Amino acid sequence: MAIRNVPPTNLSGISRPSRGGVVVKPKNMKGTLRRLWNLTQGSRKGLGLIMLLSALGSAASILSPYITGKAVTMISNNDPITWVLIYLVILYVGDWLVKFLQHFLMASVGQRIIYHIRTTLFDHVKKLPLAFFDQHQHGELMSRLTNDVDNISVTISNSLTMLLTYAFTIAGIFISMVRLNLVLTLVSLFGVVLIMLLTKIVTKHTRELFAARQKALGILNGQVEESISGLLVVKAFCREQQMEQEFAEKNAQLCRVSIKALIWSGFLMPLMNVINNLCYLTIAVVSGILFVKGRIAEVGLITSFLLYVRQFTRPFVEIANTYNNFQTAVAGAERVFEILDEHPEPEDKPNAYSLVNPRGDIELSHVWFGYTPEKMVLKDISLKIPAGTRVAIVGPTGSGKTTIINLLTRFYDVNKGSITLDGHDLRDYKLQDLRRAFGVVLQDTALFATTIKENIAYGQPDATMEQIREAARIAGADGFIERLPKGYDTVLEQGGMELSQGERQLLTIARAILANAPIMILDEATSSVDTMTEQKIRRSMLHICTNRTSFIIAHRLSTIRDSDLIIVIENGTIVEQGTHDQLMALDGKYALMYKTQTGVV
Amino acid sequence: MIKYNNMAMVTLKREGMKRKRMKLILHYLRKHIGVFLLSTLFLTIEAMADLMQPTFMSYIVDKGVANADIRTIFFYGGIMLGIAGLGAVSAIMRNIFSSRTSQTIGKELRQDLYHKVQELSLENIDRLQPASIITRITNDVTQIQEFINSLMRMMVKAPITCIGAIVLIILRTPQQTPVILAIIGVVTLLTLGNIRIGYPRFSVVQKKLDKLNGVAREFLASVRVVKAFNAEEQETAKFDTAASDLAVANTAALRVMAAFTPLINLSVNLGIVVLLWISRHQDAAEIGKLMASVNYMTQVLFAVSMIFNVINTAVRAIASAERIDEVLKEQPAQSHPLQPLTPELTGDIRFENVSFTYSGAGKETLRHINIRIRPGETIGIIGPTGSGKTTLVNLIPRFYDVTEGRLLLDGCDVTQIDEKLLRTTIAVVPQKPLLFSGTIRENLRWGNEDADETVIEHAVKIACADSFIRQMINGYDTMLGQGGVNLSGGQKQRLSLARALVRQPKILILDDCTSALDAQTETRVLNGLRNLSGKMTILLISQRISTVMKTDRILCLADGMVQGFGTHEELMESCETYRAIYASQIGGEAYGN
Repeated sequence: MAIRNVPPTNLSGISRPSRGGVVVKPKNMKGTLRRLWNLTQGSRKGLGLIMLLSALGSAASILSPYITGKAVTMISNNDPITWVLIYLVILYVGDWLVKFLQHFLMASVGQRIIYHIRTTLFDHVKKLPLAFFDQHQHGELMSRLTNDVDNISVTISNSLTMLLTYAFTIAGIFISMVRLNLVLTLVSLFGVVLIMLLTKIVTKHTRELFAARQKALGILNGQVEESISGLLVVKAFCREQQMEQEFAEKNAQLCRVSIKALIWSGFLMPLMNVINNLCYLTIAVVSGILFVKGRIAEVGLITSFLLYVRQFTRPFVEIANTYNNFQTAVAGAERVFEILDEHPEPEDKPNAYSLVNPRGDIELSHVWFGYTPEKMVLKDISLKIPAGTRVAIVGPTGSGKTTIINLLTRFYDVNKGSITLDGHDLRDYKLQDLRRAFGVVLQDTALFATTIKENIAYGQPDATMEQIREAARIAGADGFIERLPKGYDTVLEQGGMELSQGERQLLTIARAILANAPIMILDEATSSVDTMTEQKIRRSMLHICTNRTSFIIAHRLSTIRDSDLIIVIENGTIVEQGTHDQLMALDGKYALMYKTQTGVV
Repeated sequence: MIKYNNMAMVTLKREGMKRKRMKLILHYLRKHIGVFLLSTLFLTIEAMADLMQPTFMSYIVDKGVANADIRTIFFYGGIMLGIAGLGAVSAIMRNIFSSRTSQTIGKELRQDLYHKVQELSLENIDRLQPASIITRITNDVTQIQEFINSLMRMMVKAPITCIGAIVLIILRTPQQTPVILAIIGVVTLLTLGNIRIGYPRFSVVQKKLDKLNGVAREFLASVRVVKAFNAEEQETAKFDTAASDLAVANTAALRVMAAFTPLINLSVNLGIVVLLWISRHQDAAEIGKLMASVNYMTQVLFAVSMIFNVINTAVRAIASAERIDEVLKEQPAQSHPLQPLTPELTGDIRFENVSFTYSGAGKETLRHINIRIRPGETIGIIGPTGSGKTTLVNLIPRFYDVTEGRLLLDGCDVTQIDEKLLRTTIAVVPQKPLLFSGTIRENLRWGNEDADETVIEHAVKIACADSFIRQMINGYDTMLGQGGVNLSGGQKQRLSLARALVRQPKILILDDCTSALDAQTETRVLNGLRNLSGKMTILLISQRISTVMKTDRILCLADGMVQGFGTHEELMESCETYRAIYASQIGGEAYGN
């Protein structure tokens, strides 16, 4: 977050190169940079001004040694130096102003760019299909939204300004040195080359070592996490000793690699210091010789040169460091662009139908679907469901029950075949209208960190308090809500984790009730709740399903038995369908399951 | 030149130095005291070398260049190079020692922590929280490592440099002393001002960042609900607000830095101008001294910033040391038997008026449990969540100890039985199937390292895991990722069961471990287990009444108390809770329908 300090323009300074870290190389530097540049629209003027200021910021580094040298000469000649010093003061004050303005502007411009990138990213992310979220880890996405974006802007803007300043500084100093004395310039260049070589060799080595260290750290952390999260099992099976031994090995490995990395990265600074001094000495000697031979007229020139030499080497080292961070930031930008390149959910067709007051006639015809092209989860599913039917879907885990629901709400689209609602294919409707037609209560009770009433009214900004209360009453949630000190205004700070699983479920049912969608989809998890709450949930679920087309992934035999249509799915195909009596008469898989569950078998 | 890490400074302001907590760090340092002192020696040499260099540089200029005396230049130059070389060698040596020491101490700390954790009982782990323990072994140890490294890099150097530099300035150029001291004073004041004004702003930034993270996390966790309820616009507005708040806060904080940081440089530069002014009536011979003075001043400022940084790291290290100490000082909650008994365990279990409360909990989890389980029985355990089922079975292998009453195995108090014997006779299949990185065979051998192939195959068969293992390319040698990620939930559960069966235990505890299996597989598994019972006591916890119905006797728990203990028919007649569960799952009864 901090803006790095641009080195001052005084007589000496020590600069510390990075001790080495993990550098990630971007895959397409040019392309990514161009896209980044596009994202800076709206801040171009500000950026331009900052660039200009960066260039000006090099002025002090270039001019001050010269003026100081002049002052030295004048002192030795006993000339009054008042005016020279005043020039110097003006230079330094000007430098301060430039740097101040640069950083001041950078703060607002930089943040504006970050804000723009961030909101653009989120705007796109929210339109992405569910498949994207299922396939990516949340932690990773979070990192891109927050860390990567931060990194991009801060590092790139800092790097850019620094690169500019340094570029000008190096050019300016070089020119000044040549103007003063060619021979000494060549000597200085020699020193620079040495330093760069040294830096390159050491950092290449340390980069590998630090990468190895990261790896060892990851392995160790993995072992720690696994063994401590699974401590119960470790103790149950008396594996404490083995675990300790495994840990000791990985611990020792990490130690070994870390020591190596640190030692190697510790070579850089001292050796650079020696080279610096060597350079300094050489310049002193050579300039002394030249002075004797009359090639140099003023003592001050030597001073200037010594000052320039000090200033000359530092930017090279800093650029090397900055370049590493720059690369890592660009790689981060690439990850962000990867997300922006993902296809969002398909737009509505140009003449998409609006869906108003749907009846709820649903038909699936020869539907094939798989999350990946190699593995079909649903195979040739055909179903006819007249409006108002209560459908129970049963089958073993992984048979495809949840998938049907994903297809009905168009979270995924069928590979082959079609699903129609009231005679039209789902894809011909406006997506928003379609989603609004389905009310969904799922196993994972996702609630938000806001008040209970806002949770119940989620997605319905116009709901009145009356309607909210009524929905809660029908769901059977009003009891526990009113017992809370703040009632409906209670804030669920932990996203509902303060409540019990049963209470959370009742809230999500109330939410679905308020939404009052014509078609209901319920996932009746085998609830591990107390009997009273379970009965409430069952009652409210049954209530929502009356007079509507509804789909229930059922677990309770009573629910299944009372449904209008039972669908038995196994391995992605419908093996049996009918009413309870019909299926029992069939004496097939359903009958077997029922008899097993009721203890007859 | 001088980098003042603002965020680090705010930690300094928030916490102070607490000497007591240093004890842990000192303890480990003491083990490496030899190397530490050696490193300090090299550090001193390094500091001295750094201090000498500017002086010799000034001699080169004032005595050599000014008089164009090449021999003098070479003379002083040679000394300077020699000193630089000596300093470099010392620095490298010191670095070797400090790296070795800091990383080795880190290794030792981690090992000691890990060892301690293995010694603690589950009650201790619950109290400390697994996630927190992991953080302590990883992050907190790293903090201490960093601190020791910094300490050894700067501890002696900073004071020597500071004092030495100031002394040299006073000695060599006394007339420059007031200016130099003034500059140092001004810079220090500016830095403190920076912290004072910057700190509150940076705190705000942190808060806004947390808020943004929270909004993003919530969105990602609830994306299905957002889409289902068409609430995308609402979420965008939320995110936009959080992002813009953060941008505003950041801008404010950065602006403060924009003002102060260049000001520090300006002060130093103006100071140099003043120095030049002061020396205007002197010979050019003093220029070298001027440059040296500026160099020394830079060294002092640098040393001061280093001291700040070390203090910073120290503060964080002390906080980490505190957390690590907490673990190391934790008393194991369970005692080891002084004279362990080694009875012949047959699977006879008796709870005598057992009650149990989790430490720190207000309510009892189990109350007055009095039951007797005979060897070879299969007992089903059912009851709503929170009724104490898992807690009850966890008492048997002594994962926890009873707070009241006695738990007897074959007549012996379980706390007096040899722990190794206890754990080898009892096998547990927990709710969450925890598998570890390694091959399937290695995971199965956790049950018994010395089990031969037939035992393993038999166990796998009963657990109905043989079919899917055979279908895998590498079979038993298939590698499982962390936690066994490549397998489905049902497959993991079956492996977990097989692992327990490999142990050929006398008591088998199954904690709702067939939940991911479909009804048919579950039936097969239970049938297979039933063939084993008679040879072992099986305790089977399940949510499904259809599962427990088939056991010898059923234990029905609610609110930590036994509601009923008997056969299915007996409970249907006498136990209200049992009837209610039956009605709710299978239905068709008059109750509550």
